[in-house]
Formats: sequence, C-alpha cells, structure tokens
Amino acid sequence: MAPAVAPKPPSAPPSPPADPLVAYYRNVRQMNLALAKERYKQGFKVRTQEYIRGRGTLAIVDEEICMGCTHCFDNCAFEAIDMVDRKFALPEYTYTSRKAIIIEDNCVGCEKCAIVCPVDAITMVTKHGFEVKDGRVVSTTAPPPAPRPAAPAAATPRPVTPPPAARPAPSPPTPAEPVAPSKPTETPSPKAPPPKPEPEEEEAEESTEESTEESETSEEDEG
Amino acid sequence: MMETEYGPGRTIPHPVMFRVLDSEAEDTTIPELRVEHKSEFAYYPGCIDYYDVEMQFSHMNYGDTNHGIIFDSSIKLLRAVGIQPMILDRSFMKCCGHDQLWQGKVDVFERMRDYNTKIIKMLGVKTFITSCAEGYRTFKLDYKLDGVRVVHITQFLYERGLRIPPQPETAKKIRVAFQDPCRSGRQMPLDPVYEEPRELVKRVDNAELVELKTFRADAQCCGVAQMMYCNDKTKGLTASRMDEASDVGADYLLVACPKCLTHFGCLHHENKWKPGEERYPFKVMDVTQFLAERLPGDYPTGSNIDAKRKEPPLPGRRG
Repeated sequence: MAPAVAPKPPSAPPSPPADPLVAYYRNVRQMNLALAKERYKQGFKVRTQEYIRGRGTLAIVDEEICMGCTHCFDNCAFEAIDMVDRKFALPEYTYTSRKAIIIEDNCVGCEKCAIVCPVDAITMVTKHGFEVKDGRVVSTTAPPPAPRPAAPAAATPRPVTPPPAARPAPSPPTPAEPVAPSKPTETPSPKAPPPKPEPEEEEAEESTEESTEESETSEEDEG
Repeated sequence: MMETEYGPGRTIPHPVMFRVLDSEAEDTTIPELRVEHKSEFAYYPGCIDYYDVEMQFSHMNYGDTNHGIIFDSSIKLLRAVGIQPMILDRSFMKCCGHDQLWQGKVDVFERMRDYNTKIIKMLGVKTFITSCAEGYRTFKLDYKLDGVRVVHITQFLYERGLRIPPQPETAKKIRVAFQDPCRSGRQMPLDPVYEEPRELVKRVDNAELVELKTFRADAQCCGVAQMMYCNDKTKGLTASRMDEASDVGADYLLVACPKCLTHFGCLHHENKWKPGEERYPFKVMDVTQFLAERLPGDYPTGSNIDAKRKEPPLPGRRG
C-alpha cells in the first residue's frame, strides 16, 4: 500500500520551471559542470602514481611555488603542516603571503599533500638513511628483509666464519645464541640501543657496500 | 622557452586544469551536435565550470567566488533584452585556446581554433556573445571568424539598451569600482571594452561608479595575467590592486573577466582567514552578476557550490 500511495520520491527537485527555456539553460549548465568535474577527475587520477611513499620519506615545500591555498593543510591527517605568513617588503609596499610549512617530526611520508597540491609545490624526498630501491623506500641502515641466497664472498672478507654459521645470522627475530664479539656480524644485534652513532654508521657503510649496484641505479632514478 | 608569434613563451608549473584543457585538443573529431534551442545568437560561457572545479580543488572557493553564476546572470541579462541565446556548451565546444596560445603551445591552440571555427560555422552563428574577456580577445583577434560578430556581453547589453528598474527606496547607496581586464582593454587594439560596463553600472540608480587609482588603458593588472604563475610577486600585485579598491572606499569591486574574479576572490578568501585584520571589506563579483542581481526575477544563481561548505573552514579544522 505504501508504495502505491507515495509515487513521488521525496528527493524530487523543488519545482520544474514553467518556462522550457529556463529548463534548457539550467540543464546545459548542470551538464557542463558535471562534464568539467568528470574531466578534472581524469586529469587528477594520474597524480596519485607520481610520488614515492613510505615511512622513510618526507614532504618538502617549495616556497617559491606555494600559493598558500591550505589544501595540504586541510588534508594532512597527522597535523604535520602549518600555515605561516611570510612578509614581503617592497620599497613602497608591504604585504604578506601565506605559505605551508612541514613539521618534520609529524610527517610520516604519506604523500597525500603532494598529491593534492594544485601547483606541485610539494615533493617527496627520502629521509637521511633511506633510499629508493625498485620503487620502494628501504632503509640503508637496516638489513634487507629477505635472506640472501648465498653468502657473498666479497662482503665477508674474513674467512674465519664457516658457512653454516653465517646462514642463520640474517634472521633477526630468533637470535638463538649471543653472537661472539670476535665474529663479524652482518646484522645489527636487536639489543643494540639506537642512540649509538658509531656502530650504525659502520653498519650502514657495510650494507651500502654490499648493495652498491642497486643503490647506483636508484640514485640515477632520483637524479 | 618556445617562440610564439607574440614572443617567447615561458614554461611554468601548470595546474591540473591546464593538463585537462590541453587534453581536450587531442581528440578533434566532431561529435554529433545536439543543440535543443537553435538561434543565431550564441552565448559561449567559456571555462567557468573548470574554474569552479579548480577553485574548489584549490580550496579557494567556499561560495563567495562563484564563477558559475556568470553563466546564469548572463542568461538572465540576455533574456531581459529579448535574446534567447543558443548555448555553445563544452560538451561539443573546446576551450578557446587563449591560455595555450599565451603559454606558447601554439600547436594546441591551432587545433582548438580549427575545431571551434568548424563548429561555429556549422551552427550558423551570426553573433557570438561571450562573458569572458580572454575569450572576447581570442575569438575576435586570433580566430578568423569571417561573418561572425564577436561581442563582449557588456557591449551587447549596452547596444540593446538594457534597462535596470529603479531600486527600492530602502536600498542604500553603494560605491562600485570596476577593474578593466587587460585582454579586453589595452590588449585589444580594436574595439576595446571600456565604456560599456561603466555605462551599464551607471544605470543602477543607487550605485555610484568610482574609479580606481589606475583605470582604462592604464589599469593595473589583477596580478596573475591569466593563470600563468601564482607566486609572491603576483600576490603582491593583486594585493596592491585590492588595496586601491579599499582606498576609494568601494563596496563592490566588479570585474569583467572570470580570471580576475578568480585571483581577487582567492586573495579575498585568504584574508578572511584572519578576522582581526579584515583588509578588504568589499565584495568581488562579476559585472554580469552585479547587474543581474538588480533585475527582478529569480533566475537560478550558480548552484555549483557545495551547500555544506558556504563558510571557509576555521584554521585548524581538517577538511
């Protein structure tokens, strides 16, 4: 009974204009706007593939280009963007221009601001200690997650380590036995505290030496 | 750098809108034309819908900078002078190619020009009315439209004798300033549009036309020169132009070019964020909207703005 009684949808437009010409103009107007939105969406879609993303990346703002539209500010989910007023002084005229700045402690590298920026003022860069490898951001200080297929002879110049002992070493979650200090370790020990600067640098150097070929290609991509 | 017939063109970072408009030129096959209302008077709204989407995308538009209202106001004004124009809408027309030409992309412009010329000839347009200063210049000078009269809408309304009825007694006196667009003014060697919008504004009986510090052929640019580049220098130009309007005590700053509306509205919106330092206490609107608001009748106004976002978000609110 209810559907028979209520044939009109409740969300009907207020009242169709009596003048057919007004309906024509209104129709053209709405159709054009829908068309613009549709075309705009297509042009916008490609931008989501342009930027690197990940924990090791950071957004930077080019203040020469930034026009202070606050779009990134509104879209940042981590409160990592703030808007500031830069002052510009000319001989006879002073004005302010609004700019976006990145609060680097909060930036997680989600690339959202770079996508929404209408003038491409925001780009994503890797933080210190990270690099782009095969389109992914990997850390240069931590070991690669997958175990290496064979023990590289060049990376371990000391022949003291027997091959069966080197195999279980790259799996960090189960360090069965504490590693002897005399043995060279390829992976950082999980108990090592992070604020120590010197061992991290050494490990970073070691791992970059091992993966020189791949990092070279990625540097070319970045440049 | 690219050599154009107007000199070297700059390469700049383009907004998404230009990529969209450039991509229109890729496919120039003529679609099936479905024009419901044929007339020898054609109205071309230009890219105003794209500006609206761009401005909403750029968070510049929360209902105060409304480009779509130019379309509705123009139709209302044209019908007030007895014209029922045919709409050259963007489902079969392309962008006029002004920006592409002035950015140096001459090949893109030529494709758009040839396509649009073909469409205009096919539809048998005699009078081509546009509400966009850039479109006026481009269709008049850079296109070779023989036999088609290209007019700016203020010229057309003026020669048709638009009558603005007397305003109610309660309407208070307003001071109105007019920004001369560069494309239809000093960059238009023949038939510049200086006098017509001023004459039309003078017909509103409670409006007093005030001139800015520079006007007519000496008028300072809105700052950005189409959408070439938005940076601190252009923002300074825009701010100084809006300061001129504040200095003369204008209640309305009228423009005749949608892009002037874009850039003034952008800065207007930026300054609304700081309520303590309200720097520009006037409204910025197109001259067609100003005139159409003074006519009786309630032809729809814009309707392109998200109703939920009439107000700009407060600082700190996440959109």
